[in-house]
Amino acid sequence: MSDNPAASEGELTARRIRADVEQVLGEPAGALGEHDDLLDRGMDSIRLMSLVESWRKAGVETDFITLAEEPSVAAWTRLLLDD
Amino acid sequence: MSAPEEFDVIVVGGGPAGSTAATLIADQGHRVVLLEKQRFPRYQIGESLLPATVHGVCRLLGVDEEIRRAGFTAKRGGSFRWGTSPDPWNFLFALSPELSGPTSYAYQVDRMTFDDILLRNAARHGVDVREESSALEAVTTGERVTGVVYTDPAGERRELAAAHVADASGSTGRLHAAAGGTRQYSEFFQNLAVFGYFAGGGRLPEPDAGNILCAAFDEGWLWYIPLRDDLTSVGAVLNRDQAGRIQADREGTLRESIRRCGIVRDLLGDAERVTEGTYGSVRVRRDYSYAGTRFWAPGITLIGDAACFIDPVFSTGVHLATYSGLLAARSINSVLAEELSEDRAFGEFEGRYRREYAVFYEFLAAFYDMRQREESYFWKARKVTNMQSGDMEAFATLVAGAASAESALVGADTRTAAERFTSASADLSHAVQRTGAARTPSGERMTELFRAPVVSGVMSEMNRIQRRGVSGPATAEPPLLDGGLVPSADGRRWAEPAAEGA
Repeated sequence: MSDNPAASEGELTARRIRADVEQVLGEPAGALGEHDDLLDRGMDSIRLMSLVESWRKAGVETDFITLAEEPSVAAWTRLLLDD
Repeated sequence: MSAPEEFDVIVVGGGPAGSTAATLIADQGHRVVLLEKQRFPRYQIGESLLPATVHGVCRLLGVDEEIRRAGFTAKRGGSFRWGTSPDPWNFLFALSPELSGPTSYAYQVDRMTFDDILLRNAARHGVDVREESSALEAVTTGERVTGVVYTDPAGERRELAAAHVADASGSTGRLHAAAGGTRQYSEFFQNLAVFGYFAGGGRLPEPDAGNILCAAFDEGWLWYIPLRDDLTSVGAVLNRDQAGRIQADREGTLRESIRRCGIVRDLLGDAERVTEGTYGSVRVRRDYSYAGTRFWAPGITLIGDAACFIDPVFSTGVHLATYSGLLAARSINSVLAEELSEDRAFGEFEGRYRREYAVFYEFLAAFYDMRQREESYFWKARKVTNMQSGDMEAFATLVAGAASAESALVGADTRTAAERFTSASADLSHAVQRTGAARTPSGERMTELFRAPVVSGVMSEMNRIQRRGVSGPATAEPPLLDGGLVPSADGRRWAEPAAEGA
């Protein structure tokens, strides 16, 4: 497990979402496809909880279940950034 | 009596609440003494744990490895023969088999061993642990609790003085009144339990073999806890009016309850009840859902069962104990470090503790309301629609503490609370129906259950504690309460939340 999950700060953008996901999964930048199933890439409940906390702190309303249902960068970007 | 010995903190009671608080306070370099009236290891009920205790608090205490090595039965959740469906259904800790994680399990523990591990760990962390030492009364100076009088193992009266006393002496301790409140008993959960231990007994099919099973029958429900391969804890939770019958024949009442509950009767088969040693007696607990109107006063903090307890159907006892021990340690550490005022620090303690108690109260009320055989008295009396306005007021007081007893809010809130309970119950029933039986693909996925607001309410703090236990303080948490505090980076004190944009 990464020692430093979801540590980035500031406003939530598509770029930050991707960077945060790559960070908690320990993937190099740009390694994840938009539609990769993140569960296959090692996403687990604790990593997902860390992301949810970090993104809620950035002011976005979301929850564990919603993100868990569609575990991909593309879906999360849509769920978190679209109204 | 000679001059009192001085400490920074006196903890009364060596169960999970007391050990947790004492360890986390000693970790900050404070002088902590813990008084325990018995000699450990000793028997205790409350054997089924939740992940927040195992992966959150035990990790903070530095005892998670030792707990892992102790060989306790792992549970991936609870199985329930409860509600309309004849088939058991699961409440699992993992959202789905694909999305489980390092914290998606907990343990069934024999509390003699578990509590002993926590207490010895406290001693290793520098706590002065004194067993066979019974606290007799709180010492007060003006309006403040400033110490404790106790009898030592030789029967001598001794006095201790400290800046803070944490009362973790359970439901039967003597100190809680020193906080200045009264204990309010729940009318709704007016249950009592009669329980014993069986050698052997069947197990649910894997991977649910380690789960607690809670099974309803007409007169109440039974717990069935696989403690070890050769030991099963079985208890009947019945209405309070069964006290006389139980008093006359404990064993007979337990056996008759088992006979009336098909799934437990079949699992037990011809397993014999243990009749010798620690597990050899049939025991009773009564009047066990209550909360104090005050959880703290200057110089004293109530934690664990000394503060409140709620019905055991969701394995909340040790969770509320260790959670409140953690909260109290953060508050006491912050005040000792002169970082926060007592009002601010203990306001956060009491606010978070009451919130946690309240979300479980609401969840459990909804849980009991799920449709059972309503012609039976036990279940009819536990429909939230039959909750009396007195119960609602009692609930409002339980939740808000002494403050709400004087407030006009209580009366006005009764209807709101009734609507709230009714809708929580409907949400939960529907979620369970959609989840389906344990042995189905949908029964492996907790999406429906976790989405029910009453469930996400009980999961949120527990999840945060687990997350923090595993991945540390890197993620700052928003305050839980309006205008409230957040845990410090080391998780052992409180901090003001960082200003917006800082």
